[in-house]
Amino acid sequence: MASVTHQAQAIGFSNSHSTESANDHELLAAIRDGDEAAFQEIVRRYRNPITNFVYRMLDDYERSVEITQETFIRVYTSASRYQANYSFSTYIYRIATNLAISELRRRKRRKLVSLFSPFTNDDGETIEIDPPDAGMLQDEALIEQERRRAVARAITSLPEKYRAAIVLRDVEGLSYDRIAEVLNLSEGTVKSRINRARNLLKEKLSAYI
Amino acid sequence: MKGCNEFKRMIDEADRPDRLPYEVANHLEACAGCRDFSAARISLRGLLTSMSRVDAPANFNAQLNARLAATRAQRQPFWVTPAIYFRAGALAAGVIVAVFVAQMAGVFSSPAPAPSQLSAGTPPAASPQPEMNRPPAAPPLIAPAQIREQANRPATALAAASSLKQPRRATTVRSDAPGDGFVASEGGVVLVRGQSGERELTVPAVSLGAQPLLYVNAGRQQPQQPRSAGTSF
Repeated sequence: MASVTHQAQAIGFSNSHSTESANDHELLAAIRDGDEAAFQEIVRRYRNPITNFVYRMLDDYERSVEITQETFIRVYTSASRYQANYSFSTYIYRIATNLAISELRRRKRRKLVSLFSPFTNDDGETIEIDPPDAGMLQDEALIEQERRRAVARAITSLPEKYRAAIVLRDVEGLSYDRIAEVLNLSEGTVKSRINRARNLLKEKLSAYI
Repeated sequence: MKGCNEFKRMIDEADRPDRLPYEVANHLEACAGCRDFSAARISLRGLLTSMSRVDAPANFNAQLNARLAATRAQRQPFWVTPAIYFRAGALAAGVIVAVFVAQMAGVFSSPAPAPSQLSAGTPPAASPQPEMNRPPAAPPLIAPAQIREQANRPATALAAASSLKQPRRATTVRSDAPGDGFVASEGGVVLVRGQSGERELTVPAVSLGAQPLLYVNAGRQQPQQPRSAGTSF
C-alpha cells in the first residue's frame, strides 16, 4: 500500500491526463492524499456500471442513483482504510452490493412487496408469481419493451442472494472468482447460486426462451 | 465417463455458452436433453445480456458533490461522537468492577501480623471487619492469681500516669488455666478494666446451643471506641 502511495505521489495528479492514465489503486492513493481530481476520475469510471448494477438489483432508477452516490461517498470517506488486497472494482461492487441488499431488506421490512403474491419459496423468502403473458403482441417495439420488462421483473423477483450473483455474472459479466470476492463467498457457492438463479429465471421467462 | 449432469454443469459454468469445450460439443451431438439444456442456457443468457443498460443521470456529479459536501459538514470531531462516550462509560464500569472485586478479595486491607509477632501482652491490629463464621480471637491468658495480685496492688503515680497516657484495655482471664481451681464447664471470671474502673464479670458455663457469649476486646486496640466489652448472641 505504501508503494501505491509513493506511486501516486510520484505521478502527481496535477493534470487531468495523468489522472486518466492512472490505475485505480493509484487513484485511491491520490484520493487519500486529498486529490479531488482523482476522486472525480473514479466516479467517471464507475458511475455507469454501478448505477446499472444497482438498478438491476432494485428495479428503481431513482433509488439506484442515490445508492450509487452513497457508494461513492463511502469510497471517498473510507479511502484511508482501503487496502489493495483486491481490485478496486471488486471493492466498489462489494460496497454497492451491500447497500443494495440493505435497501432490499429495508423494503422487505416495510412490506413493500408486490400485490401479485404473498407466497414463499423453499428458503422461506417471498417470491412473486410472474405468469407468462401468452397474449398477442402487436408491435415489434412493444414486444421488445415487454420482453425487457419481463426480464427485469423476473430478476427482481429472485431472492436477493440469487439476484446479486446472477446480476454480477450475466448482466455485469464478472468472473466467478471475482463474484466470490464481491459477495465474500466461496466460488462453489457462487456457482451453485447462479445455477439455481438461472433455473428460476428459466421457469419465469419460459415464454421468451 | 462423464454423465449428463457433469456436462450440464460444464455448460452452465462456461464463460461463453456458444463456445463449449470439444468433449461437451461431442456430447451435445449425441444427447438431445443436454442439447436442449444448452440451447435454453444460451437463450437465457442472451436475454439477460441484451437488456439495455442504464446510465447515471447527467447531473450525477453535481448531486454527488453536494452530498459529499453535506457529509463533510456533518462530520464531527471524535469527542462529539456518541461512541467515545460509550467507550468511556464502559471503561468507568470496568474500573468500578475491578475496585469492587479487589475490595472483596481484601487487597486494600492491611495484612494481619504473623502469629509469632503476637505475644501475650501485645494486642493484634484491629481488623476493620471481623471475618464471618469465626469466633473472636482468644484473649491473652492471665492467671487469676495475677488478677488478684493486681487488684490488691496499690496504685502508684507512675501507674496512674501510664494509665492516662495509654488507652485502657480490657484484660480477661480464662477459667481453665491450670492450678487455679477453675473448670471450664463451670464458667469463669472476666476482669474488665475500663475507663470507669475495673469490674469482674462472671461468665456462665458453656452449654450447647445458643448461649450468651461475652467477649472483651482484649488484645484489640481501638482507641477511638470507648466501649471495650460487648455481648453478642
